[in-house]
Formats: sequence, C-alpha cells, structure tokens
Amino acid sequence: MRKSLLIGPAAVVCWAAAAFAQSATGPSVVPGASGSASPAASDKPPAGGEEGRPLEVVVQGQRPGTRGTAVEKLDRTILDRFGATNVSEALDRLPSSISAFSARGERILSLRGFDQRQILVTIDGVPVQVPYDGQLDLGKFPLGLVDHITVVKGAGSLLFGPNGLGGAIDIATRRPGEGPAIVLSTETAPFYAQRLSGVGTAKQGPVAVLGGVAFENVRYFPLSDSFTPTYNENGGRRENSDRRSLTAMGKARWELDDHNEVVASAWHLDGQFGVPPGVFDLTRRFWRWSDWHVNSFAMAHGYRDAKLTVDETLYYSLVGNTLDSYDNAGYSTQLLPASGTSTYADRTFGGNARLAYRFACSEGKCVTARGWFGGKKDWHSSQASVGADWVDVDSTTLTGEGQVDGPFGKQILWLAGTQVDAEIPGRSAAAGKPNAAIGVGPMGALTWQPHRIVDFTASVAQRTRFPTLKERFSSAFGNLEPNPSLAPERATNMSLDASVRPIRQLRADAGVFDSEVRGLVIQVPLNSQTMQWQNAGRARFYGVELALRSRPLRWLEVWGGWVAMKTRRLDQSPPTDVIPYRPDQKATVAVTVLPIPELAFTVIGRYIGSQSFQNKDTSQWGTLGGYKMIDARVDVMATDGLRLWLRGTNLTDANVQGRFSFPEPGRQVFVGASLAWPEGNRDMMSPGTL
Amino acid sequence: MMLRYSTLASTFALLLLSACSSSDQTVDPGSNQNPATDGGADGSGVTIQVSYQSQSIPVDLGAITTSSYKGVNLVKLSDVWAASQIAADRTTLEFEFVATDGFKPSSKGCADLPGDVLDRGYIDPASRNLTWDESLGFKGCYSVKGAAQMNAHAPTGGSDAAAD
Repeated sequence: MRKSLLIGPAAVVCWAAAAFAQSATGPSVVPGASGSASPAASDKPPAGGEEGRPLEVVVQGQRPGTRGTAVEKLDRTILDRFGATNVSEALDRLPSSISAFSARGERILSLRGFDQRQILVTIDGVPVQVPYDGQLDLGKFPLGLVDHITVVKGAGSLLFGPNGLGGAIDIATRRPGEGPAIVLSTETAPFYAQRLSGVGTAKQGPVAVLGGVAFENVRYFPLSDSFTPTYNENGGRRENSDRRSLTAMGKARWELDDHNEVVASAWHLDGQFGVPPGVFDLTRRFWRWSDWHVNSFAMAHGYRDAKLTVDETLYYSLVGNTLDSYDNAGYSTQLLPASGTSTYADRTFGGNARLAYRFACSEGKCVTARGWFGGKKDWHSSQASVGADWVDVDSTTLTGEGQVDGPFGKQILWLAGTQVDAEIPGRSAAAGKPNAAIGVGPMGALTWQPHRIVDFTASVAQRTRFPTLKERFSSAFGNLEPNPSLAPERATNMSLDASVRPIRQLRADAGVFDSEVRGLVIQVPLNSQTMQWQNAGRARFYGVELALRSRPLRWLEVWGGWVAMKTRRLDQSPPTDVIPYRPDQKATVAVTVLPIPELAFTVIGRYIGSQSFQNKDTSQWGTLGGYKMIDARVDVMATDGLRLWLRGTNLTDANVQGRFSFPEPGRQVFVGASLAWPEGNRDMMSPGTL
Repeated sequence: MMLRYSTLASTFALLLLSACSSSDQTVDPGSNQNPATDGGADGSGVTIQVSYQSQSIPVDLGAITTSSYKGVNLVKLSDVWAASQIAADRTTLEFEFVATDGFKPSSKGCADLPGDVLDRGYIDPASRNLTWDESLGFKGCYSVKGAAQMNAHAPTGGSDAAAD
C-alpha cells in the first residue's frame, strides 16, 4: 500500500526532473492547451473578453477559480493521443475521474469523489442527462464529433447552471466554418468492432454550417486471457457486450453583423446496447437496452462588443430508452415473472441568458461583471411493464448567478459571486408532494502571482443539488420506497492551487481540495428488503492533485497527473464510513515521442488504487485491489491530411474489475485512419499538442 | 537523432517494465461473514425456524450439508424442510418466508411459493439470505435477506401469483 502510494508522485517527479534537465535545448513551444493559462502568458484580453460564444463554454483564462488543477481541458490532439473512443473513456484517463461498467452496462463516472449526479454535464453548454436520473452514460457518446472536453472541479464550477455540486463537464462539438472542411475517420478491431465518423463544414459569407455523423458497431469486447471462467461467464467474448449506435449532428452559425450571431444545433443519438451480466452474481440479469436515444435541439443568439457580451439560449431535449429483461442468456423470450419491458420517455425544455460587462480596464485587464440566468423544466414518463399505467412526474429549476472579478494591483486577481437556485416540484408519483427548495451558493476566489512563473489560487464555493426525480419517486420494482420529501444536498468546496511555469515548455500544477457534503442523499434500509433515498448522511472528500504538462524537446511530450484522495461519510464510524468505488489514488502518465515529424509514439500508463465495495449477494464489504493499465499507439502522417494509426489498450492483458463482478476489457488492438481536407498537416509537432 | 531513438527506447522500456510487473488485481469479494447472524461463517449455530400447523422446529443450518450453486456453498431449502423432520409432503404445501425484521414477500404483493420449488431455492448458512435458481425467473421480492422463519401452510390458491 505504502509502496503503491509512491508510484504516482514518483512518476510525476521523474518526468519533471527530465523536463528541467532537457529544457535548455528546447524550442519555444507553449504548453498551454491544458488547463488555465498563466496571467503572464496572456498579453491582452481576447476580443469579447474571456466569454464563450453562443453554445460555447469557456472556463480558461484569467478568472480565479478556473486555474491550476481545478480545470482540465482535453483538446482534440489529447483526445487522439488518449486513444479513447467515447467521452467516458476520455475522462477516465484523467487522474481525478474514475468510471467502470456498472450492473446496467453503463459507465457512470465520479470526479474527485462526487458521483455523476453531483456533476453538471453539458454538451455545447446545454445540459445533457436523463431528466429522471440526473445523469447519463457518457460511454454512449462517441468522440468522433467532439472537439474538446472541459472539466471544472469543485469550487470553480460557477456560471454553468444548477446542480453542479462537485463540478462541471462540458463536451464541445466543433464550431461551424472552422477547421478542416472534411474530416473522415474510421477504426476497427478486426472482426468485432468498427467505428466510422465524418464531419463536414462550410462557410459562405456570414453563414457557416457543419454536419457530422458517427457510427459504432461492436459485436463484443474480449476479456483478459487470465480471466477465470465462472458460472455466468465463460471468458473470451464478454457475454451480451455488443453495442451499436448512430449519432448525427448539425450546426449552423449566422453572423448577422459585426456584433450579432445566431447559432442553431441539433443532434441525435440512437443505439442498442447489451448489458453484460455480473460474472459472480447469484441471480443474473438478462438485460438489453433495445432502444436508447437522445434528441437535442438548441438555438442561441449572441451579442459582443468591446465591453458587453450577451447571449441567450433555448433548448429542448428528448431522452428515452427501452430496457428489455429476458428469461435467460438466449435474450429472446420474456415469459418468466422477472422479465418484461420498461420504458422511459423524458423531456427537458430550458433556456438561459449569460452576460458579461467589462469596465475599469487598465493595462489589458478589466473588471468584469457576469451574470447567468436560466430555467428548465424536466418531465419524466415511464412505464414499468407493457400495459402498465404510465407514471408522470416533473420539476422546474430556476437559477440566477452573479459574479464580479478583476485585478487588484499587478499581483492579485479576485472574484466574488453568488448563485441562487430554486426548485419548484411539479407532479408527484407518490403520496405527498415535494416542497419547493432554494439554495444559495456564494463563491470567492483569490489569485496571487508573486512572480511571473508562479501563481497561487484559493477558492471556496457553496453549491446545491436538488434531488433527482428518480431519488424521490423510484420504487425500483418494489425494492425502493419513494421519498417525495427528499431535500437538496449542499456542498462546501475549498481548494488551494499552485501553478508553476518555470520555463515555457513546462507547467506544473498542484492542488489541495476539500469538500464537505451535507444532506447527502443515500439509500437507507427501511427493512431487510426495502431501501429509501434519504438525506441521511454527511460526507467529506479531500485530497491532493498534481499535474504536469511538459514538452522538454520538440519531439517529446509528457502529460501526467496524480490524485490521492480520501472519501468518507462523517455520519458513520469506521469501518462503515466507506463510500464505495472511490479509489484512494489514481495516476496517469502519457509520454509521446516524435522521432520524426510524421511519426508519433504514445504510451499511456494508469494506476488505479484500491477501492471498497459492498457485495450485493452477501451485503459484506470487499476490496478491489489496485491495478495498472497500459495503452499505446503509433500515429503516422502518411500524406497531407491522412493519418494512420495502430493502437492497443490494456497491453498487459490485465484481468481487472472496475466494479466487482464486472471485468474490464482485456487486450485490444485497433487500426484506424483519418483524412482531413484541406488543412492537413504532415507535422504532428505543431504547438499546443500538450 | 541518436538521442531521439535512445530516449524513445528508454521511454518504452520504462513504461513497459512497470507495466509488466505484477498486473494482477487482488480482490477481496466480501464473502460470507455477515455480522447480523448469530453464528459462524459456516452456519454453525445459525438457525431458521420451520413451522407447519402446531409444529415449530429450529433448524441448525450449519448441520445441513451444503450444495454448490454457482460455486457458492448454500443450503437447499428442501434440505432445510427435510431437516425439520416435519412429516408432511412439502410439494402439497405453500411456503412463506419471514425476515428477522418481519418482512415477508406478501407485503409486496408476492404470493407464497409452492413447495415443489424448494429444491431450487437456497439459503446462505451464514447470512440467511435466500437465493432462487435463476431459471425460475422469480421477482426480487422472493430474495428475502436474513430469513428467520419458513412457514408452511396448506395451499390457499394464490401460489401461482409467483408466476405473474
């Protein structure tokens, strides 16, 4: 245990030392794409300040609270280097995030100890979730249409909307009219997995359009050769692990004049997914998502001038699925009592307005007043079985946020703000109606830059999360007792971050974080058979995070990080204060070597520490030991715009369970190609690839 | 160029070396040591009360030979009935299971079970959690946790509700 604790920091320190030693000969390459830029690196504020355009979220920049380890930005180059195929896999490469297959076949993540319900997830700034559940499997979203992903942790998550108790994640698709006109990409694991994606964009005068499609067909994923067969799983091809999905997206942007812009977007995801059963479960579930779809439409207008930025967004999302439970591993008959078909048909309609006004500008820095006002209504309709009555519940959420930030002298940046959230419950599916609730969340942050190479940021924020409709009304086929009176969770997030940039080729961040959640919503047993979500707990998540980004030589990139974390319930005493599936540490190191401009080798190593869980068959606590994963890939720029790659995941074929009873895939090898036209570049050493 | 290749080689060597060193994951599955029981992990001293009409017999689960179900050693419910030595044909009866806290499946609309399925039902000798052969496709309400009583009675005509 003690030895394993040293792996992460040791790796980071080793690479930091290497970077320092080799920096003297390196060219001037700015490793600025990940996370916040140093104040010293920003010569002047960009036009329109640091505000995002319509349907865009921008969190990097001068603002305190969005600096150091508190913000991660995964741009397209990093996503390619990671070799991930969907959003969940990409986020799983971050030291602060952990995800694994669950009993529902989903990959639900946790971020610095917070589970995904406590994280606000948006696509192009628009909330994306199953309205009933407050979360959504990001493993179903292909990366082919994604431009970059921004992760904001803890205290920095203001000005995004409600319910980001522990942070926010924005998935940004490409901006119409920018970048290559056509990008086609394909990847295959011979004989069992194929992925295709294509994105095209064009600009004519003030109008730009973009269209994209991504298709995935995976017949199964392989288990490790060292997997020991069980009654439920023979090994080899993971049972019922097939997946097929089609995603389509369209965006259009119209620049009305120098100041006004209108953007509209629509995207659609439709898929069918098998649910691999637990390999040790005494009672297997034979489940399949026969239909799983999301349709989302958004329209926004933005106005920008030298001092004022305003945009307004309206969105409408339909999220639905059909879960079929079968009699046996044939997945064809539904005759036994436990089999059946349940259906969700959920909707969300909402809108928001953002504004930023810059004033008192001096030496390129301004005081900025920002506001975010929005509301949304979530509807949930479900049918527990064919022919059963539909259950309808809904809820409305309103949010207002105000924030002012600016410089104080030459070394200090400050920020103060408050977010007010209100929930107005609608129809109830149980006896009693939920009470309206309000949450007030002040935030403050201070950045001190004593020298141009180093800055320190302290931030504190209080956030509120309203219970999901599922937590209030779910009966889980009789296993849960609804609790309409469930109250909001509240969290106080504190962090202290330091960013050091001794040379242009190196940035190192260190952060200490501490979050305390009150009114923690957890399942409490009412009797031996029935649970109920209650505000029964308090929890504390605290730890340290280190991050390193370096390009010591033109042909060598290093990307690494390490998180050590404690998560525990404060309302329980050891050993029952455990929060399941929260590793004590996680480390990631990615090294890319570019021996010639047309060739890149990347090796990614991950270490995930031990984690506790409760065995559902015995009700006893167990432990999943720590494990390592190694991925690698080779990229070749064959011609202008044509990139070929060969990549392998879990190269050591480690037999590991991300969750008990649910093994992760064994070794896999993929080959792929992408063609970008007309802006192909043979040189993969372009700046900003870190 | 030589430096690049040597660095390249050392990079791969370092990462692959660390990768190849003991990648196995150790797992403590959280097996049968339920503190809620009044006996040992092998079921010794753990009892279930079996009753029919005026008879009520405590059956020591640790004294019954276990059967393997999916590799887990469990006690068949038909063997529990046999161990009670109640002189009645279980296949002509219906059975109700009651947890230590009084929970019974009928409280969730799940009818009592016919006795002929007892040979495909199991009880964990430590935790007294019930498990049914998955080929029966029973609803979750029958997976009683901490079963303390196994009550037999003459059929009431509602036992086929289990197949609803």
